[in-house]
Amino acid sequence: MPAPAVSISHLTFQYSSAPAPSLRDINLTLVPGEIALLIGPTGAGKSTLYLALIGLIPHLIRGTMAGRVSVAGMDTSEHSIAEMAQKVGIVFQDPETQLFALTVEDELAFGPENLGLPKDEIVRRIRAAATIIQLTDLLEREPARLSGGQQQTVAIGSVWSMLPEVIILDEPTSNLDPQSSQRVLALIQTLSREHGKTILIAEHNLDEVAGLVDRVFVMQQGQIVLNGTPQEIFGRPAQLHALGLAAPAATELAYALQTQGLDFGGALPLTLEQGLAAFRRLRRGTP
Amino acid sequence: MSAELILEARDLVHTYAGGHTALRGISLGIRPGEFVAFVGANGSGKTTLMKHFNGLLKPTQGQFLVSGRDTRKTTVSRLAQTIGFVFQNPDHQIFCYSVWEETLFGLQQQKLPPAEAQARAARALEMVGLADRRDRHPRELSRGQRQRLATASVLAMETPVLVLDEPTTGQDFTARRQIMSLAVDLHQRGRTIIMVTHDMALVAEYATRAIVLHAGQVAQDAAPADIFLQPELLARTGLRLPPLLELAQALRAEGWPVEGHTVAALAQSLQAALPAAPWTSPGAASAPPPSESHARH
Amino acid sequence: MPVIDIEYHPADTPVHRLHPFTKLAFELAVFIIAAVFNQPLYLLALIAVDLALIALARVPLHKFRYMRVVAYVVLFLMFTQAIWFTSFGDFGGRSDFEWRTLFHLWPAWAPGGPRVPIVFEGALYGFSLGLRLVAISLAFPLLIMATHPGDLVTALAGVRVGRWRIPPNLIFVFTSALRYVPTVSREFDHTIDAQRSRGVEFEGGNIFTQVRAAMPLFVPVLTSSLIRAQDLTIALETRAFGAVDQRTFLREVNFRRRDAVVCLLLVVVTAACVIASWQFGYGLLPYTPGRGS
Repeated sequence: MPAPAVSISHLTFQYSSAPAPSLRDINLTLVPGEIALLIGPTGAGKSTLYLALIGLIPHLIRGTMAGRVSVAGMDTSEHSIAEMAQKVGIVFQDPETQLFALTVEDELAFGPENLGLPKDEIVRRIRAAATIIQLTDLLEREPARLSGGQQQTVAIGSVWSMLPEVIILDEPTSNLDPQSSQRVLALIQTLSREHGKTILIAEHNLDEVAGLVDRVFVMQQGQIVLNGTPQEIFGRPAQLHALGLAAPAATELAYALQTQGLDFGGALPLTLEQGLAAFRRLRRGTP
Repeated sequence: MSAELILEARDLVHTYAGGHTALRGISLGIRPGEFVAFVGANGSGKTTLMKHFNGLLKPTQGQFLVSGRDTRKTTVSRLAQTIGFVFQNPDHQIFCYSVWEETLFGLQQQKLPPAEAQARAARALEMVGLADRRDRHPRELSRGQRQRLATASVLAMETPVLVLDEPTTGQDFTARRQIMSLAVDLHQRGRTIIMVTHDMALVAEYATRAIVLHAGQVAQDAAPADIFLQPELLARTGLRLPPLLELAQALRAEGWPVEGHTVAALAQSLQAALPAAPWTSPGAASAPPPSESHARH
Repeated sequence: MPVIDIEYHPADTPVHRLHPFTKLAFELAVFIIAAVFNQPLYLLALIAVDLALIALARVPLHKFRYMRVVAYVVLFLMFTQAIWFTSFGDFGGRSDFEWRTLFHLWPAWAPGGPRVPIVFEGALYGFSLGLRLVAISLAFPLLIMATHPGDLVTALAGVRVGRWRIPPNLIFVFTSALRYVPTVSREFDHTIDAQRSRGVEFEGGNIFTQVRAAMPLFVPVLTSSLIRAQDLTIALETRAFGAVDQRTFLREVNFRRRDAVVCLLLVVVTAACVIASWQFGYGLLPYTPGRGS
């Protein structure tokens, strides 16, 4: 049994200026190579959890922390943020806040430069990152003038050049149009399936990711209230409704029919393709 | 005819100082009491057009009229009495020390008598659900609450027209529902509501009229239902059907007689087409019906 | 409000290829030469050199929108100097110079007139002061506009005085500040739009209205800037900023032969100007304080 990529046990954190803890007794484990989805209403504590995963809590952010966070075998309390940065990378929602170099190449080089790596190593990493994000011919372009989707991929590339084992993304598609969203999600899938990285995504856009992820965590008010496979979580819309969340479109439609008595053979469809397949089966009379 | 239109564009052209022509001849009219959505991909010109509504931008050619008055001959502060803008980022507006002061601000700019101003501010805070936090400092509020505060300060001005700029981008499900039910409520009370968005799900659920912008021109001006039936239009203008309607369209392509834009409506039309489908025991009907929160209406 | 557009303008020109410190030397030279001369013709020649370099660096003219403000300052200087120049101690009482009065603000036909003379020499002096300002404000942003910030960072990080070097965090603060000028400028624009939509008037009105309009403008921009700074801190930390003492710089900046040539040229020309002015009185208006014939 391989060591978990991420292991959080009994994490509780309260900002020094807050009246109540933002995270309460969080327990979460990620297996290497899996893609996990984190959902929950705004204010549930997702951002705080992310800050704890990259080591900004407890090193930079003030507050009281209890419990243990371990990423790629390193305890965040015992390693500096810079050390953690080589194991876990984070991509934020708004590319504007994290892209500040004048060329894509400079952006990809920034992390490795900070680590003091030799120049030939940096060049190698830039080339690898540019290839993976498929922007090798845009290295001289200014990130601020790229489209939102391209900016987001540059941000992912700039994290990639640090060669982390875990990549966490905070609503990567929320500012993007549909085509760009698809590209970014396809890239994320490649990073996991072909390169074995462990990915954690926070998203509101369930229809795009439901078929992509291996596990789903539902957060509310600082706690993880649900944890399971996509089918276990999305396939039971009633429990999501109780939390003020909605399931993917295909699931909701199937569920509406299921409550009127229709039998879907135990598993509600999660994606459009699964939805079509399910309805075809109904037509043929096979559950 | 023009006297009946609250907003009107006549061959509106706008070219920015750098030479980029964002609007290439727009002509349209909006009547009081409508619920209109302006949709378009980024770069379609919808933001430029939106800024003409209250005179932030003036036409380089053509005209834009608000209640019959040319915006070039009126100041933005005058037009602010007719058109209220709710912007995407509340932090571009909020600067007062308390929720109450912030809500009053726009009214003070209009030099309203204090009693009237306070009455309006109180009503506005009530509408957004922040009445119990009037004395709080805005920094104590969450981002969603600040958005509501910014909305309240505009609502207090009680403008006949309300323009919502990307009201649901980046918002979670609950916030989205709150904002839109407020818009629906205001619409029912007679205000003209205009949404500028690229979120087609929003258009599907709420707008009765959608104006599609593409490359600075009006590509289509029709009811959302009609627009959703034109995949080539959507592809050409860089728009995409909301997931639910994409599913409905795919089902239709496979011969299912689906109709409607909400989960409930679609489910009903499908049910009618599945009389012989396997049903579980009648007891299954005792499962709780879909709650309001996801039925999307 | 015009967008303050001073930012790097990418191009591949001889000016761009010069070492940042050479460009800095140029700015220093312009400053000194503008200080030693005050004859408008000489200053105009200096401005012509500025413009030639801007053209050589292919920086588009619309980036110099801020010069409109400078134009107002020039007019202000001309006006005030035209009135008060002759009242200054050194030459107010000079009897050996014929001041040419153009007209009087308080005309002859008004009671107690003529008073407040507008003196030609004063206006000319004010004009020359303004030209100095123009020459300097055209030259200074050139460093930013024609230098890739990465090069600037590398150059600054390479400065060594014995074992002392400029703290890398300081360099970063300086260069990021530049990068954020257009960003913050945009924040101003967004805030102005949002507040105008609520009825705030930013233009016109008296001085009191304008001051009152500052709060709804500056508070949101300051707040967003602080939040942005915080976000940037987090983004930097997650990319291991400050992890290592000796950071690698991928970009290379070399002080080449052409840099040495240009610097030498600058030194020679500047020295010549200083001597010409101080020693021989060239390039000076004849009636300026402490100089000339």
